[in-house]
Amino acid sequence: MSAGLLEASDLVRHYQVRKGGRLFGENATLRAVDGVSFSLQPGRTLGLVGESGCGKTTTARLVLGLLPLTSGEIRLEGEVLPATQSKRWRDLRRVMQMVYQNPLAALDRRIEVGRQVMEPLAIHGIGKSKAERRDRAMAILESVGLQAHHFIRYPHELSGGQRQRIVLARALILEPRLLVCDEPISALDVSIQAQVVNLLLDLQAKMGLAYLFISHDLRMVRQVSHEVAVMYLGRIVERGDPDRLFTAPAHPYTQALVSAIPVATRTRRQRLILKGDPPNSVDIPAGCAFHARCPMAVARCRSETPALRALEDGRQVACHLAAAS
Amino acid sequence: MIGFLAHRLLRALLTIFLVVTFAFFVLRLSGDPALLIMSVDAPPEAVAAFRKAWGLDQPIWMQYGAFVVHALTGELGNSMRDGRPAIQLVLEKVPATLALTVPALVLKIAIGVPAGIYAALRRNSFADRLTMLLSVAGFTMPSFVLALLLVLVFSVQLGWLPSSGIGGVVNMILPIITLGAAGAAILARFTRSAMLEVLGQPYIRAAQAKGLSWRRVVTEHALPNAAIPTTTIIGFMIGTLIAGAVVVESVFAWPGIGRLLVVSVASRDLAVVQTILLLVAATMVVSNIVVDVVYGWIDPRMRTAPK
Amino acid sequence: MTVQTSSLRATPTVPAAPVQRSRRSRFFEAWPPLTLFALGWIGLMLVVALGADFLSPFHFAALDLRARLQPPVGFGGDWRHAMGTDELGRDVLSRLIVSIRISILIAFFGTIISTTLGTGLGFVAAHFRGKAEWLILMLIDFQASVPFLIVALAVLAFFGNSLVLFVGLMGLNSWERYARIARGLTISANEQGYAGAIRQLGASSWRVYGLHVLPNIASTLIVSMTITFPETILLESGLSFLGLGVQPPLSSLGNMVGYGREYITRASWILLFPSVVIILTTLSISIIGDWLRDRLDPTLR
Repeated sequence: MSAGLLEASDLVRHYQVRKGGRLFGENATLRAVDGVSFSLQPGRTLGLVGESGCGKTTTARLVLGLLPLTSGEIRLEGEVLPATQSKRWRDLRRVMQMVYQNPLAALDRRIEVGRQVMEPLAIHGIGKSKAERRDRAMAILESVGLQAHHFIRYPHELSGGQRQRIVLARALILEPRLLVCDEPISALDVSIQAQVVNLLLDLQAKMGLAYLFISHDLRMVRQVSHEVAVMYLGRIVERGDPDRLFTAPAHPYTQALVSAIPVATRTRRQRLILKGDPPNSVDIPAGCAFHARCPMAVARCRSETPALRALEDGRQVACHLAAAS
Repeated sequence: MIGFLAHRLLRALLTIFLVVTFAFFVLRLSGDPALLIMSVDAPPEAVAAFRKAWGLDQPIWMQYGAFVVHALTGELGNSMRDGRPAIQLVLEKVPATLALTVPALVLKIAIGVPAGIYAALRRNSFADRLTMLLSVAGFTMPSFVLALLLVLVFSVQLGWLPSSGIGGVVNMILPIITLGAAGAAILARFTRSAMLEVLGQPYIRAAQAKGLSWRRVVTEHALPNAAIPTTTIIGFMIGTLIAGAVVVESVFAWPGIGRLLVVSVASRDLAVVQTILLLVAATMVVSNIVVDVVYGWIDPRMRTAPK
Repeated sequence: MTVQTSSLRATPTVPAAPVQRSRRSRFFEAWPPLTLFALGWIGLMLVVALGADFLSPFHFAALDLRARLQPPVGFGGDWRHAMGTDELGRDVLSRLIVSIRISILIAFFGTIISTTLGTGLGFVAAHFRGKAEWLILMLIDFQASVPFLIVALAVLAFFGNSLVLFVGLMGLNSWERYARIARGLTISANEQGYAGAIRQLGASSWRVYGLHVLPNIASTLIVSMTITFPETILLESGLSFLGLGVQPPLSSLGNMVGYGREYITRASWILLFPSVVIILTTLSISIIGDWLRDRLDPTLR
């Protein structure tokens, strides 16, 4: 395996919490992310899907170095990710950037959006003069599909899609090689979502960007990803080629997710309805974390935690029952 | 609810501990009490004897430890002026202060709450504007100014009431009105905005929509909900019963805690000032806990809130 | 607590008649007469505070033993001493002007110190979280649990009483209000807001707090300052009235009232003029505060 753009090995992020939120409650460990590994090559997209609370966003924040790891290692272009807020960490912002779920919150409401797009250049001392920075900001605005007159607008004067384009422009002006997109379209109007996704695909083709694309919208993930990883309670339960993963899911959890995608055809599919809510990340059951909700669980699932193993078609799945067909 | 109370109690204890620490360090480190109390030309032996008598020759952390232990057991030293135990001196004055502040509190609630409710229900009416104008005047006016204006009118000009001193109920009228007026102003404003907030809620419209009379909407839906924030401010006022009359007692020469504090501060009587400080903090903390309990009782949401 | 001017505006529920409104009525809607008066009064106070040396007709401590306890103009006095004289024949107007300067300066610096200190501690708490935050929250609890007048009295008596110390003490009044505001707003800006996003771009903390967070919370802080300023005036004048604040030969509004109290039966003007100035000043700032709150920060209401 060649050294990719991003190598994440065995990422773990635990939190110490008090049970029941009481002062004298017993201490417990919240396993937000519990042993996640993946790699990402330049110009490719890894889709990360799962229910809310499964650790997708925590994984994104770990990858960006916004949160310290409990254990594990992240390498960006072969270099171990330095500590948050260190000088080197700040320099690395030019390599990796982020797109947010809520673009209005991510922008400073008091500042013209054009000046906000210029700001990363000032932070990193790029560009000789203000005029040059301004020109670059104008150019990047154009490449995300905005016009010069948007430069002097304030965030609240723009539409949701335009704001997300501003956030994109602000990230892309640093010419990063990795863009972490945390639910980039879920706050947008459905009619705008496709536009933003297409823009992301265009930019990837043009700039050779790699995306870590986090979403709970399976169809969108399938459309943009070269590889998909499904997370459940802090672990990856299935990973592989999006088409195969979504047409023939191997893990019962993936099957349930896929069966919940609404389809337009009238052919009746059997929907797999899960029992109950996901247990919270403090009380993760022993054995396979999914066994309590799994319709096919057997005794072994309660005692033995399944590891990710490869299937014949190259997919990886963490389930005792998945046939190595 | 138990966890919630335990949390509050712990915070209360920490606050008391901080006040004790503050009382000790700020007051003790501000200067050598021996030199403050004794005259400048006192003989050195006398100063040394004074230090020994008050434990001032010990290292500061020893003094602190002794102070905390004493504070917790209610032994707060003797007044440096007249030699009696400070706690006794202070507690003696409590009834006199309460004789002013308790009727004043009743006055505040009796005027402030109904005025606030009325103003809210008649929003933008003449009565509302008048209430708000009076309430603004009530708390932008320093209590000593109000006190002196009352003296000027009722004692100097009209000669109806004594301007200061102790005696009968007549001596208490002006101080109580002064204390009550400012508090009533604050309560009226607070109650009014709490009521307006509640009256703007969807459940009020829902209650009206299902055909309840306006009277029942107000008494059964609006008032209980508006009572919740108003309780906080009343609780705070209860906490200030002991020390809320410092200025007013001084104006009217009323022999309560407040006047004792001013006199002790002016004469630098360490023990008495510390005792009053602790007493005030304890009252505030206890009343805060009581408010929390009442809160939990009238507001079901608080019972399960984690923090 | 501030003055509520909402009662002075038209009810939003009643639709306004579609009359052509004149320019004048639109002007008074943006600048209500009460607000104009308040701004004018505060302007006057600032002019008096800054130009006290040029404005006072006499030196504030100059004695005129032949003209003791002279009443003001209109009550039997003459224009030489427009507001009368006190028991030593000192000109009340001159003393008032100097007192205004002292009181305004103390309240001004007290408010600035309190705002700076509180905002700084709020930033520290929000930035470092953990133990530092816990400690600052403890201090906030402490500050809120004991009436500041009592704390101030204790500190003053035992530290002695210099003007610098007194101003510093006033600066400790209600810092916790700013600490709470700054901490709360910063935490939300850091966690899912613009501040976290800017930091993620690689910005230094100075840039995040100085160029983004501070300008964003400034309007809320300024509105809070209009609450602290009159509070500080009331606190200062209260302490000075008790004889424990500003010390002679300096004079503040509070100790003018305090000394005038002795002559309440014979020369009530000595205490009435400073009293009126205190009331009008605190009232004006409260009115301006409400007006600013409506203009700058609709979210605060």
